[in-house]
Amino acid sequence: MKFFEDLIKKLKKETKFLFNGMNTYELQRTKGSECAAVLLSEVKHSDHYFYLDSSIAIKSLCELSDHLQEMDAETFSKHVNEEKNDFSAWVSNTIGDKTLGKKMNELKEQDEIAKAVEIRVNYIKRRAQNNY
Amino acid sequence: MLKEKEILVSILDEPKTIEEIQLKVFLSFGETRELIRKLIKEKKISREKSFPVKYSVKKELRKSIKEIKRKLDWTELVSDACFVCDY
Repeated sequence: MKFFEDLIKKLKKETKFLFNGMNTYELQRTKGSECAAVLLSEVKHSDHYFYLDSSIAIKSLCELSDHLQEMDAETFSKHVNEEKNDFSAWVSNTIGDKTLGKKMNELKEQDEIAKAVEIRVNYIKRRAQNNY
Repeated sequence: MLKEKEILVSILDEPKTIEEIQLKVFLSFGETRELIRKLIKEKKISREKSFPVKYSVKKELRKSIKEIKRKLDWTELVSDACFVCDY
């Protein structure tokens, strides 16, 4: 009896979206825009901001994109060199965008990383606005 | 520096005219011409004997430019997958 109860629960869970009037594709697309908005939002806790120096705290992907374009080479090289890529680690682990973080980790030049972040941010913004 | 790399990537597979290069790298004609001159001076590209003139990557650099092309491929950054929920 328990076997059938578990099976019915599982079936209900799998087919729940059908009874909500939305098909799988629409549900996935809706989730997509929510995820895009999450990635664009500011990091909640100040401990998780990215601190360029004592006065500049980066709180979101959009701010990172802006700062990367204007940052001086010395500041950049403190965070990205042969041994590490602090921006990539922050994007992957704190922001949660592992695709962008992985791409940033492959790049070493400031203009390349800035372009990657800019492209990604623009895409996420379009995604969030489209409300799939 | 990024634009120079983009020029090299755009002509890696096939020689291109200056106008075709300009369309790929989103620069003005003058800026594209200046960068092409710089790359010729640095012996990274050569002029083909064709009309109109086309430019191609030097043979010895093709392997390294392929790697640059792979790094500068932004396709995965604009894919339609949901990047948090893994849909």
